[in-house]
Amino acid sequence: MGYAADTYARLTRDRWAQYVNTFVPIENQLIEYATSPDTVTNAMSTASQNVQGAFDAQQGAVGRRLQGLGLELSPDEQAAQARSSSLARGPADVQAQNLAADTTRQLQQQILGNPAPDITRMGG
Amino acid sequence: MSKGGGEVEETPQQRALAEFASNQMFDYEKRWLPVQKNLIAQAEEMGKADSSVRNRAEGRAAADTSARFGAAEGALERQLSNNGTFGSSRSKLAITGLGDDAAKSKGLGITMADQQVDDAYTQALGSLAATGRGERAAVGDSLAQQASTSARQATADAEAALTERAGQAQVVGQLAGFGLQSGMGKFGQGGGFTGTNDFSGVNGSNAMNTFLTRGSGGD
Repeated sequence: MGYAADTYARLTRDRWAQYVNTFVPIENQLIEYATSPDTVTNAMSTASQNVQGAFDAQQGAVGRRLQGLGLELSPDEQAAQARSSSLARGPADVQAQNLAADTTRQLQQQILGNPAPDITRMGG
Repeated sequence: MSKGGGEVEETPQQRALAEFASNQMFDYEKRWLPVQKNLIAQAEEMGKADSSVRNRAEGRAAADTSARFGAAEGALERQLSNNGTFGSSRSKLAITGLGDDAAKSKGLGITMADQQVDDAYTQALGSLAATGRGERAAVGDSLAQQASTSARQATADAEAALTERAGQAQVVGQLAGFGLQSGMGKFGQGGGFTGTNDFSGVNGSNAMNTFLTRGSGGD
């Protein structure tokens, strides 16, 4: 083979090696994100943690707020507040998990080239 | 332009194109590949559960919620004071209830921020993968170019071989013609015709010169 043929052969091998080493791992990450059932489960779990963490943090903040205002909850008021907070916490947790699951599935579909229908835009 | 064994020598243009392609590759590897690798590293870092981008986005979402609900808390307390219910059980539960609303908003806000980071992460990966597909296409182009070079070489080989064969055939024909002419001439002159190799009686040196010229000219 001549110089030009050898050069093109070397360039072809180099470019393929670059593609395999640099871009194939990226494609694999995308494929993993788009096809793994763990992706949705993890997103839901994170969303739940976000809501639980926010409620836990807010509980402390509200306690400090009341203290700052010179207010104190009686045992009955504490029980009522706990019930009310629990009633707010559960639906918020479910809502966040549903939101995370929906948007994650939508992302997965987009990656796979099949965007899921956007229900909010179908009403009009 | 053919070498021994029917191979065709590469033209200066082919060599120059190969050198140009090689220089382009070197330039890409030196300037653009590091940038792409850096982008890949950034995208991968962004996608991690505890990435700085994710933490910042979550922090912003939490701060937005705190700012908005902070103002609402102030308004609620003023309202409770104004209507004389401040300090009652109802007012205390109103304050704690507003705290629950804030927690819900904060949790959903952080979740949305998380999803937006995921969106940006997958978009970045998608863009990089598209670049990679371009690289793969370029490999295909390079292979096609290689194949095209091979095809060109094969065509050139065939043409060279055809020219060579045609040249030889022409010479053989000419020699045959000379032989025939000489034979005919001899025949006409009463001489015997003994075939194409019979150069006696003709200008044999001219015929041999023609053969040698054609033979060497086929290079």
